[in-house]
Amino acid sequence: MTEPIIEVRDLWHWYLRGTPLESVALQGASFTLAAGEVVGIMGHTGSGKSTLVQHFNGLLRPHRGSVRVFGSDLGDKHVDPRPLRRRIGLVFQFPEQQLFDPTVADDIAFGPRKLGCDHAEVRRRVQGAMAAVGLPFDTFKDRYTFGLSGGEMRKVALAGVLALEPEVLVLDEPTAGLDPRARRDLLNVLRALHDERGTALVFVSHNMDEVAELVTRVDVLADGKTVMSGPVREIFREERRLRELGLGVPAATELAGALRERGVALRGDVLTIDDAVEAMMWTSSSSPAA
Amino acid sequence: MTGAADALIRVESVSVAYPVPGGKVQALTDVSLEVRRGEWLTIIGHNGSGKSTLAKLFNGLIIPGRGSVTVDGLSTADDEQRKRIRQIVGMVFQDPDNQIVATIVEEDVAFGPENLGLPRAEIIERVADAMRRLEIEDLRQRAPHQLSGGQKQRVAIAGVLAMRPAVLVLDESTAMLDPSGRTEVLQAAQALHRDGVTIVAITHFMGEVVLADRVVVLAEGRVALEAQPRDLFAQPERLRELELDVPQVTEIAARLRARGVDVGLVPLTVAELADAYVRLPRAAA
Ligand SMILES: Nc1ncnc2c1ncn2[C@@H]1O[C@H](COP(=O)(O)OP(=O)(O)OP(=O)(O)O)[C@@H](O)[C@H]1O
Ligand SMILES: Nc1ncnc2c1ncn2[C@@H]1O[C@H](COP(=O)(O)OP(=O)(O)O)[C@@H](O)[C@H]1O
Ligand SMILES: [Mg+2]
Ligand SMILES: [Mg+2]
Repeated sequence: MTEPIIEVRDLWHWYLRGTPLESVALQGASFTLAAGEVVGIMGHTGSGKSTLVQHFNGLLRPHRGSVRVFGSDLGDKHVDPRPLRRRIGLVFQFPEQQLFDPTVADDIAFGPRKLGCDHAEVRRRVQGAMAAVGLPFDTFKDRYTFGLSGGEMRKVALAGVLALEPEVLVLDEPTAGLDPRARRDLLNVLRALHDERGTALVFVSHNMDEVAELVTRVDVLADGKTVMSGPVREIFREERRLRELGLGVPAATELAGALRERGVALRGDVLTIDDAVEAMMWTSSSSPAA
Repeated sequence: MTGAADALIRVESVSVAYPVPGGKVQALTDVSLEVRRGEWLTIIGHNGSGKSTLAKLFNGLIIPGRGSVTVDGLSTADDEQRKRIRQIVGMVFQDPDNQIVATIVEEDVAFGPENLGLPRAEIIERVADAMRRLEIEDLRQRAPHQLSGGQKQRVAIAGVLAMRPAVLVLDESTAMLDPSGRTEVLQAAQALHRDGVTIVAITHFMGEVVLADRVVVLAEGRVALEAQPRDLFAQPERLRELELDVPQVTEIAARLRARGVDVGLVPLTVAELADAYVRLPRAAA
């Protein structure tokens, strides 16, 4: 078996360490990502998701435990994490933390320029990334990054990372604030990157429907610890456990539960709209008349 | 119920443009609408359609370039009235961490009323009342940064409520929350609504839109549609043209119908669809 791209073991992290306000954000989190995988991370607010993913490209360093990324040991202070950032693109939870340049096109071009792309390549990537997130190039290229609506700002931050064309994309609640169309389009873009280029994806989300649609495996954090990990279908079978952890199940799964409570026999796991339609079609055509 | 008597906020022929390099961005164009006393109005629309701009017009954070906005008969363009208007229209935003000013929950909730210079006894009464209604009494001595997202948003709402607003504007106030946080905030808003507080909710979650009495859809700075949730979600193609969608259960029912299984209504909730489905006569294959 090849070595995982990201391997986190028993990770601990404190904020304001050594001050009276010290608080522990991670206390024994673990995580692995293999090449080409699509993994979801869920957990209540404050469970440590954002803290965990900021270790993946060395923005935060482990206080205890180990973080290995593309073979580098990020616990070793002498390891320079910057080369990793070309390979692992991280989209922050709060887009305003990610935008630096005054105008939209310059902000998105920043990464490709730093990678040494020539002018034509920078332009190709910026236009491609803006199209992928649904920002019309001519309308938005010269707009100020701080004079945008919330969703538009999110799209610029996403485009800036997509333009890096990294091998791994780590997205921290990327659909928050996006309209339904932009959400759907983003999921399609991510799926295409995975299917066509083999991009590995880490998708942090509070949206159970999206997790069910996109990922194959899920990790669940609670109070800084990894408490569940497994194939998405198995995780969403644990509805009661998930609710105790402040989470839920996809709407389609909820519907299947409500139907079963009402005595309807449904086949298999129901996670997505497609699953629900298929299961309900099958039942309505195969059950004997009441 | 319609008509002048019910309109708490009245927006008339309003246009708003933001200056940007080399020109301006037209955020709202000739928008007219009213927020009726006691209703739950939800505003949806694509990114950049003008929802937050509209919300900021409601409490005078933005004064329209053209047209007028009145709140309870007071013009937001009138500097003298703006303080009063900010009390009538309370706003809560998306990020739970950016709205809390104090280091203890109770002090945060008291911040607004203290700034009004109210008598001590009145402040104490208002803070207690707001915390009771948001069910955060047990958090009164806690540090806000230690709370969950849903708890923080309820603290933010309590702080606004302590100003005794007639309208609570929630601009994507559930966007950053986990499922239980969202439920907490929505249940709190529903309880306030039952007690007579007018709610204006902005959201991208179609599943939340079903809580509204009335929905206004913005597109490119104009009012594109106005409807009750069920009538709105009976138009999936129109909604998709507007970059929007229907709730998941509504979509499931539509796809079943397309394949010959018609549950006979536009369901808005899981329970509605499940109930309708079990009532269907079962045909043997
Ligand atoms: N400070 C600003 N300066 C310049 N343009 C702005 C500013 N704020 C908003 N805009 C523009 O005004 C329009 C409406 O923005 P607004 O924030 O009202 O949209 P919104 O419907 O709330 O969008 P979202 O769903 O993304 O939050 C958009 O085209 C946006 O780019
Ligand atoms: N910059 C920071 N300073 C202090 N505490 C923080 C900081 N960032 C996060 N925390 C705290 O660390 C914990 C984990 O937060 P976070 O990783 O943001 O969780 P999540 O992304 O799951 O919501 C929370 O208790 C949070 O309040
Ligand atoms: Mg986070
Ligand atoms: Mg907005």
